[in-house]
Amino acid sequence: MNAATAISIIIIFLVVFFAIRYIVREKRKGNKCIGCPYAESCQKLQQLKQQEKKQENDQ
Amino acid sequence: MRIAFAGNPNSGKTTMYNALTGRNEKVGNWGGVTVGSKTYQLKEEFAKGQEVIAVDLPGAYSMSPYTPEESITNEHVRDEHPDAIINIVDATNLSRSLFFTTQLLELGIPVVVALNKSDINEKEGTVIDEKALSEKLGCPVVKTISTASGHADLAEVVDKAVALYGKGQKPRYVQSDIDLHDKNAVDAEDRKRFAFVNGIVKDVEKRAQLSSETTGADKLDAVLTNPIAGILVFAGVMYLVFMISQAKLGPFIADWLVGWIETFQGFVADKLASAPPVLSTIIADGIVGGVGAVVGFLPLVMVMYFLIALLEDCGYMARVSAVLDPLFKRVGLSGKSVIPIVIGTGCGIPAVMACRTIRDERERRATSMLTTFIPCGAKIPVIALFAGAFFAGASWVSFLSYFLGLALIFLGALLIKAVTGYKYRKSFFIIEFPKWKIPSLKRAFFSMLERAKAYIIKAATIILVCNLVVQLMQTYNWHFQVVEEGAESTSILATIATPFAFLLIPLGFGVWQLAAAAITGFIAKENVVGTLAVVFALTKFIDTEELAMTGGANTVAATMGLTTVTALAYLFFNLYTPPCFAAIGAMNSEMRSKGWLWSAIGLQLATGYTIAFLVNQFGTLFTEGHFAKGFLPGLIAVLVIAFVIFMIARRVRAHFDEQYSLHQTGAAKAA
Repeated sequence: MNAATAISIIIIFLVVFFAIRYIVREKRKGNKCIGCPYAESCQKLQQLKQQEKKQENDQ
Repeated sequence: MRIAFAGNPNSGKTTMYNALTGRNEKVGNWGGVTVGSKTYQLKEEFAKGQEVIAVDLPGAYSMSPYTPEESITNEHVRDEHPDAIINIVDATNLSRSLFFTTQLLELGIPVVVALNKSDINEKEGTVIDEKALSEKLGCPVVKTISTASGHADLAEVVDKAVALYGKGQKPRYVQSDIDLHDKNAVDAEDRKRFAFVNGIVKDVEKRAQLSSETTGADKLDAVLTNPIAGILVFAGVMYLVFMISQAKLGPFIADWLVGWIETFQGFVADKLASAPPVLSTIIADGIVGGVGAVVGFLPLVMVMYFLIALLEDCGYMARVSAVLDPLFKRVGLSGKSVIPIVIGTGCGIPAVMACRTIRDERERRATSMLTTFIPCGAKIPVIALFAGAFFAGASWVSFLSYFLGLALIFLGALLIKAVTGYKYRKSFFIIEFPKWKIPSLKRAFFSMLERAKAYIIKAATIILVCNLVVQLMQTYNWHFQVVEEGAESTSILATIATPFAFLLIPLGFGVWQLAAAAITGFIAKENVVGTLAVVFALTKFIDTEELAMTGGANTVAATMGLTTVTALAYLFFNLYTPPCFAAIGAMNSEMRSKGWLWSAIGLQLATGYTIAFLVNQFGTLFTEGHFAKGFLPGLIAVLVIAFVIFMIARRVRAHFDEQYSLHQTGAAKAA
């Protein structure tokens, strides 16, 4: 394995690792659309809907 | 301590909330931008050592909610018992705003009135005596300008709200003890309250210009909201937006950016010259090439967002809503359906979310189902790629895509109306026109930057991973051996995409590469461009010199092997089939019905397929004098779609008969 091969493998690994890590973290936060500047507002809406659903079920 | 921000729609609550918390929530100059509550801690400079939580609430005209978002405000103020309320009042429309203020004051929660937009009053020569107003209301009143840079006024509002913590306030107007179920009594009480408010306004406000006088702005509004002239002006404005963003300024900047990306790709390929070809291909073509192809279109998207932000900021888009309102009502949608559709030009997800302001469930679901027909920002690279490669960058392609999207919303609404057996119901759409103003270049610039950041994040994560997977699937076959040259159809990607490609033959693009790109578009629409770059090993999608050539004469068009007709069919297929999964998820939460969701996906698939079929077959007939390949199977597919829709309509109507018939049905009699 020459240096170029080793470097390319490391680059692929790092790039993919950081990209996937970012996606997973955002999904865990509840952000459905990666990169969306208003994602948090949308999350709040989701929570609100869940609360509404709970209230409906309780009734 | 928790402070709620309450006030009429479009009074500037979110702008103040953003200024005080440092957040960057979406603001707009029409009511209904905020559809849920938002909570965040105040900045230290305003909180001054205390823990102060700000709650931004949707706009409300009164404590008797009419719309779902008004209910959120009402419930929060009544049930969550904030420690203080900052009531943001539009100082340019005092008499309308104070009705809600007097109701808030009766709740027993300390209220501070922020007389917002005071700068506009100054310009118009309107003077409000805030000391007198404070005395008459029995609460502190502070003049504010949320959009100004200093924010000393906002600090004063917060200080006054904090000082009132734990204290009571005596309202100057108290509602009589009436039966709230008695409409006449409630109306009489509201009139009394209005009389009280008008009395206050008469004493504290001096206007240089009465609102009953006709101004130049009123005359302009009359033209722009005219049912015919308004539509023509809207069409002209949108044509200009697309021309500047996608045929003039956008490609000019993009050409420069693409040059840099190409140089970088060449540099990477050069450095990897001694690495195994597979690795070199994956990095240079898959990662750098695929992502670079998507990023290359960033300037076009940015210019478009900038222009749309200018149109929003000057107050024009609110007028567009009023123009489209009567048309929407005619096809069974709500007048409020206009707002999601205007928002949808940016992104389909907030557009679908904005549907919650529509009261009627059927109208809300129908709007969620149809709003993504408007091409969003993610679809712009796809439009720009095909317009550039096949139509010399003609701006009419984007214009046609946008207005065809609008036409499909109308046709889709008519179809839903027919299927669900819609009965006419009077619906109201009330929108307050913001005052005309010179748009802020700074605000438009920052709005554009925010969108650009989102675009880059998406390209560097989802699109990057997708392109890498596509590249790997194209490089290897099912035995995980590298696919040899000439045997590309044995790759994993080709074998998965080929069955789909077979279905697309009647549409004129039945090759696995194009089918694969359309499929990856469901993850994010920009992926269509990224995947095309990977599967055709193309990167330089934007080349101003090549754009001068049309009809498949340039490299991109020649490599894809499409004619102008099939390219248009492929473009429309990608635009009008279901949106990305994230938008489908938003539709699911908004519709709250699996039946409606699957119907929406089915309708969008059917629409995309039918439009592409018609464009390809009739386009080929006009240009070549005969129908294209696969006419009969395609026609059968379209007829099957029509039959399925007919059967669904029949089933829905049969249920109606069972549900509402005053007489027993045959089945019930037999039972």
